[in-house]
Amino acid sequence: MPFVARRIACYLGLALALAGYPARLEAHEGGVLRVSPRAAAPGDTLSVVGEQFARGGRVRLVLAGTEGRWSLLEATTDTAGRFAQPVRLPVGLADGAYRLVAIAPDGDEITGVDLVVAARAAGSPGAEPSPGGHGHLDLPRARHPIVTGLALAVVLGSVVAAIPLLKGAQTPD
Amino acid sequence: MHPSQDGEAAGRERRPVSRLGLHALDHPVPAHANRLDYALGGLTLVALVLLAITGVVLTQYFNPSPVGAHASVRYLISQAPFGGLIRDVHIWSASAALVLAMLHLGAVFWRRGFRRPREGLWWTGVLLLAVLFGLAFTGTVLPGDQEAVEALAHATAGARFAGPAGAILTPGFLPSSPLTTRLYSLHVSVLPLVLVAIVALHLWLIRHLGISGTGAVQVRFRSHLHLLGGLGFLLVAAVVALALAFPHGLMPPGVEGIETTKPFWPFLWIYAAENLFGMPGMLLAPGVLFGFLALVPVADQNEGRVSRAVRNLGIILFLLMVAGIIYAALAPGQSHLNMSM
Repeated sequence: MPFVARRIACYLGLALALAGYPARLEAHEGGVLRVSPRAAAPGDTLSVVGEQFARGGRVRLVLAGTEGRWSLLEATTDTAGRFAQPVRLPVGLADGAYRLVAIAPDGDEITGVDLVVAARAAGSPGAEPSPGGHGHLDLPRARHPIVTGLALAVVLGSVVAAIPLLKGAQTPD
Repeated sequence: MHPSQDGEAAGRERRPVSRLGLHALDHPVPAHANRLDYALGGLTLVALVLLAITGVVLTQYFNPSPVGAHASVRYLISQAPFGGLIRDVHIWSASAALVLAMLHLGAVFWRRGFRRPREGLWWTGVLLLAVLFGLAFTGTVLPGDQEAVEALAHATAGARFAGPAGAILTPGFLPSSPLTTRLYSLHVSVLPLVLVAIVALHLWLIRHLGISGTGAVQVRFRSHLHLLGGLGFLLVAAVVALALAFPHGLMPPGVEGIETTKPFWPFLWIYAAENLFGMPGMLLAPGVLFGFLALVPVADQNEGRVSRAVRNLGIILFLLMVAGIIYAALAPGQSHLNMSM
């Protein structure tokens, strides 16, 4: 086979192979979990909405943490691949980061959402954030007098430094 | 004449100014360059330096994982001794950088400083503005509060709307790393590197083409640096004073599926476009603005009707942007992603 024809055949073969390559290889369909709230205390009830799962399929929700896994519920999706259920967190959970995972019937993980579990501590600053102005948290500010003094010194020093420079800019060469 | 044969030249070479290359600051610039409107670009650079310094400090405190981000910002504000002030200086510097960049762009547009041979300067400047908006957006989504979660939801929805071009901004693009962590790496490494490269090119072009294309009376560049230095110190004073007087707060941890906030003020004009045109407005508004800015040097190279039309269109777009920001700030919140309010 002439060299040019071999080269063309090689490029054509590559192009066909790439065109036929699947965009993504997945064992399962994609799925999206929406959980509200994302930070909760042990025993709290979360609102869980699942979308884009297999239609009419079963999905198991498991809470995974460093100390183990807890099976929370088994949901069946509707004809749109959607489900919405409340889920109660186990009471004895330790504080920390967890992951709420959707598991397919064959045991594969489909998707997951991160959660933070923290027991409510009454009166501790920042542990139970309360809304401040404009929806912001009412956080105590770490504003030591030295920090404020240094910042004011920077402001005044900058103004003092600016004056001779601006005068110098106006002086003709 | 060989320097060793010329005592005066040898004396000049021995002076520290010459050895450090500082005599390069004595190159001539037009006298009219010593005005405020010619210092806006330099002041933008001062704001970027402030952002870089405070940003490096903030990276020591911030936890970029989706689970730890909000708690780390809360720690920064409420417990770290300088943390809250540095964060406030960072955010106010971001606002200052965007305002100064827009004013600088407006001043250059008004002077028609984009005409041949300065098109490259204009286009690098437009790219810099786009990168600045990218930095502002990626910074907004980092704290993990309600505003951040909603900003991310809008961006993801816009990315899905853009099809394959927006794939990189969708959560499932890289299953090994959450989207917020990837945006953090964009904010602290990729975009700053791109910014530095384009700023270097921009400054080189200024040195090569001159700070202004007109002006007979010449002064030393050092006098321009005096002006920049003075105004730069005033900018630092203003930013720190604003950070002391008006510290930025933090919203509660973000909850997906609801829309209760409005975006950071530089994006309110896009929010207004979404109010009017729905989801396509999120891509339409920046598309129109940056498309116009990119075409300005192509369309306006000579005096005439086209030049006047380009100027008028620029003024209209600028006024629409300002009006959009004011309207979106004052109008009641709207749900754009069909989420509950």
